[in-house]
Amino acid sequence: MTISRRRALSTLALVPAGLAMPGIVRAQNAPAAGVPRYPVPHVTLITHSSPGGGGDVMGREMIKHLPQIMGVTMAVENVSGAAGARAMTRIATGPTDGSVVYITTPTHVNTAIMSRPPHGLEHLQALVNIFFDPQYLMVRNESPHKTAAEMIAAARANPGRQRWGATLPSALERQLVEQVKRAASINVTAVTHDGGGDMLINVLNGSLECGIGELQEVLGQIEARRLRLIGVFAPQRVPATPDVPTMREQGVNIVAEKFRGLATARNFSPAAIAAWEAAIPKLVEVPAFKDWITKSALVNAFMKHEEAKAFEARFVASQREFFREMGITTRG
Amino acid sequence: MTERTHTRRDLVSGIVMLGVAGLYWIEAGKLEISFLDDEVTVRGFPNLLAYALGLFAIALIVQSVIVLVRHRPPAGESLADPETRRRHGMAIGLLAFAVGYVLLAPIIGYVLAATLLIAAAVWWQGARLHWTIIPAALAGAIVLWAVFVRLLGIQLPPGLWF
Amino acid sequence: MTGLSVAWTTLTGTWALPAALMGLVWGIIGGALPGISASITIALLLPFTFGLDPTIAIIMLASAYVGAEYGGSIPAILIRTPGTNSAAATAIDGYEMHKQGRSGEALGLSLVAGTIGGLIGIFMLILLAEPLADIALAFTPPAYFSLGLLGLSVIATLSEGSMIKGFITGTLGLMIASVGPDPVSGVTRFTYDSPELLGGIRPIVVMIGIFAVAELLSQAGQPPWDRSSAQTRIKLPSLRTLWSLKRSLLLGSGIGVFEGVTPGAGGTVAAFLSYNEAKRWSANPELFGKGSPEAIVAPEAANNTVAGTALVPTMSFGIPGSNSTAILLGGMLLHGLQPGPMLFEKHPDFVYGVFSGLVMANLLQFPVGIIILTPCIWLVNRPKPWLMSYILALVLTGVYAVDHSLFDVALCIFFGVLGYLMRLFGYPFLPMVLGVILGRLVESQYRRALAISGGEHAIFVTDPISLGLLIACALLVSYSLYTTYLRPARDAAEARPESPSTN
Repeated sequence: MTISRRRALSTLALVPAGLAMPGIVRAQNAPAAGVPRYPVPHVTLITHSSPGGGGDVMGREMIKHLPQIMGVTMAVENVSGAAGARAMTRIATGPTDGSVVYITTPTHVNTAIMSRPPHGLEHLQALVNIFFDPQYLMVRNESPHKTAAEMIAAARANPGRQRWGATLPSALERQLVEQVKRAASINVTAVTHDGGGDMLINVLNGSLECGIGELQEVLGQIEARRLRLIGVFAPQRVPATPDVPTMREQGVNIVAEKFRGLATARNFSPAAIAAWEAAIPKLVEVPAFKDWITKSALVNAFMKHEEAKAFEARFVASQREFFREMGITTRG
Repeated sequence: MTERTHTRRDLVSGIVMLGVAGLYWIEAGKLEISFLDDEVTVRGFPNLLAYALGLFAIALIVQSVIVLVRHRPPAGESLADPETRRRHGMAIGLLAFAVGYVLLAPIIGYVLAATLLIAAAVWWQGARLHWTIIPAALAGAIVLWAVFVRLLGIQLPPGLWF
Repeated sequence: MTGLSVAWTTLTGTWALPAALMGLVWGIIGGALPGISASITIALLLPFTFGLDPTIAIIMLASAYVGAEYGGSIPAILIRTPGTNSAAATAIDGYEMHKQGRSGEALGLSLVAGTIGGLIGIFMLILLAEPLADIALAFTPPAYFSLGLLGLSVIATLSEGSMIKGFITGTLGLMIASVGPDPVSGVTRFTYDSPELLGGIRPIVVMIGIFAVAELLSQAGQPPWDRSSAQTRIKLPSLRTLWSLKRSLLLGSGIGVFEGVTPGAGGTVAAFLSYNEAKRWSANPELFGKGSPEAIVAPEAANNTVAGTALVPTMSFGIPGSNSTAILLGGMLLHGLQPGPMLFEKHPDFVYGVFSGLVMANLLQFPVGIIILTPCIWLVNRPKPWLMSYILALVLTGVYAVDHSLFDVALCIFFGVLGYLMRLFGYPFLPMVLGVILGRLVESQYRRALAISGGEHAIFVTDPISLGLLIACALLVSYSLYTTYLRPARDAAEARPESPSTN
């Protein structure tokens, strides 16, 4: 019944040899000659999203180009289930020589805070950060509100009457509603959903005044002029959507930090860390990868290991604080 | 509209269900209401379910008591009946093998655990005890392993030794 | 019409046909393996499509979806294990027919009904994508809540023998569905800090437990069955038989069209509603539950129709209606296609290519089914101890594969014991299945509707679709109450002069 993109199963992304259709499936991860070789010859990127999900797509784009940069072969492995808990165990108990790396989003942080997975944040560390996923405020085309500022002014004039859509209750989008309420001193009703698609219907059919979500999920609606973006929770305007003003420009100083990065087990090989720190800046300059970043409306937010660790510590603390303040968990 | 032979069991299961409803209600009361919650709250739906189950359980108890008092139906098959005991015994045995599989799989690995499961279940359900059971069970386990791991690319419990 | 020529070019000039065939076979195998749901089947195939032409890739994935929706009925009939969620309704009468030695007939019926339903679904998709898409948009949270309630109201008629017990197991099902995160606040309920329960209990784990494991446990004590008269080949229904089943076929497909286009409802609910309606409108409702052909045709036509119409919201809005279509959507994104209202204008070649591939997959389903089914029937006619043991291993392996979790396997065994006890105490288990499937939908849409209305319950009757569904629901329940309690009492009163009441 859930329409969420959380999917059912883990699968090895590598094509079992006997089933590949000859000539149609190409291997894309052979390293080029003459590049530095990573501490280990083969790297597996673990994602907790299933094939086709956010982290999975990102991993597959990365392994198109990273092998040439790092001089290794690479594969993506989906270790889904238990909201990232299983992937965390896999990383925490796996080798630390550089051969297993976890593609992260805030999901596993929230899972670690909200339940007691066998292996939690104390067993992991951020390796580097790569992107932020900007969050947009969106309305249907018929909406009278042309900007987020207008939307908020209307909300102030009618306290408690506006309904703002967000996805899962534990998702960052839901927290953004609370943050906007606090920052703009308005009172709106947050309506949670089982996923982005679910929310989209209710924005489109007018059950909600607006919704918060990601560009990728609504691109089709934007092109068809059924939906408008009226603000983005980002420090600057996003290259993919230059006409959409930031929330900060519109007087609400809130930035969403939905990060996409890499994490590893503690005691991860220092040589491997250095190699990743060198490789990611090269990766985001590869033209084909750059195109993908723009198309996906991602924002470059590369952070080296120490910086990423500090960022993660801040992020974890703020999540803990939020969950405790809202009474979602008493732990931590 | 229950069959008579079920009436006594209905009474028993009705009482059990009433207990389940109570337990669920107590547990639902322990759920924390967060500031993100709505008016229905995290407890609303579970409470409703607990009341509903309680109500249905009481209805079942009342119904079966009325039937028992009015019609004094004969007791159904009882556990003292050797045939009934044998059937439940067979089921419990099979259940034990399934549980054993769950416990053993992470230690000895999928193929061995599945082989043991198949062999034990075949023997338990009355196949003639013969040395061919083991290779046949092993073949079954390998076929399953091949379908899931090789064809579909799904990993099965690896075990500590293999 | 340019669409037709595009379709023709796609079919003849490229890899479309082999891709559809491969996807279909893959789908049937995946769907037929217990635990491997349609969505998992598609997800497993996804990595194989990287590097393929987008149209071919989506044809392959959509064909796998078609195949999986059909394949789920095979184990439902032969081993009482729904291979996919939506085959649960088929397991009722399908397995009854199998026990009566009519396996070939049951499989033939489900194959033909599935193919017809699938074709109806695809043609609805091709002809009516736009008007149907508007239906999906018209569904607001109160309407979804009422739709869920309508699904639950089927409990009243599915609880053969005792309505009270049906309500009890239905409520237990809803309780099982309440495990996991609260839909509004995100507070986890009844998970007791277990990360395994963080996402809730998957319906397929419950279903395999109470259907398959429970059946295996009770079969353990039964004497070997007599299979001397059993059919060993698939037996296709004659045209005359099909004609006599037309009502069930149309009911199933009609409900399937409707459920498919409303995101979130899906094939399982469609199958149960169709089962229920087919029974209500049948000339022989007493045969339902005892091996009625209508009881196979209706749900199978329904869930195969859903496979087609579920693509309406997926392709025209980019809104997946189920886990399976969510993965298809992911597949489209991976191949650089942006589903949405513009897809039809910007990529007509892709859209019509996919349509033609789907028609092809549905037509291929028929011969492929005939080839696959005969060995399947042979397999289930092996000596009982062997068969039961292999099925047990297969089922436990399949459940593990759902989420790579031995915890799920243990949970499934637990539900097997529960199912065994339910049988012993005369509790119907179909209401529990409905509760497990619909619990989350009903609760979250109810609370969403109230959030939107500011706490006013009036929203459920002021929304026209919701009102209509609520009325349908009320009619359904009162009809069941009437047939269960009032009519027998009246009949008994009339019969009293001759023979004293026995109950």
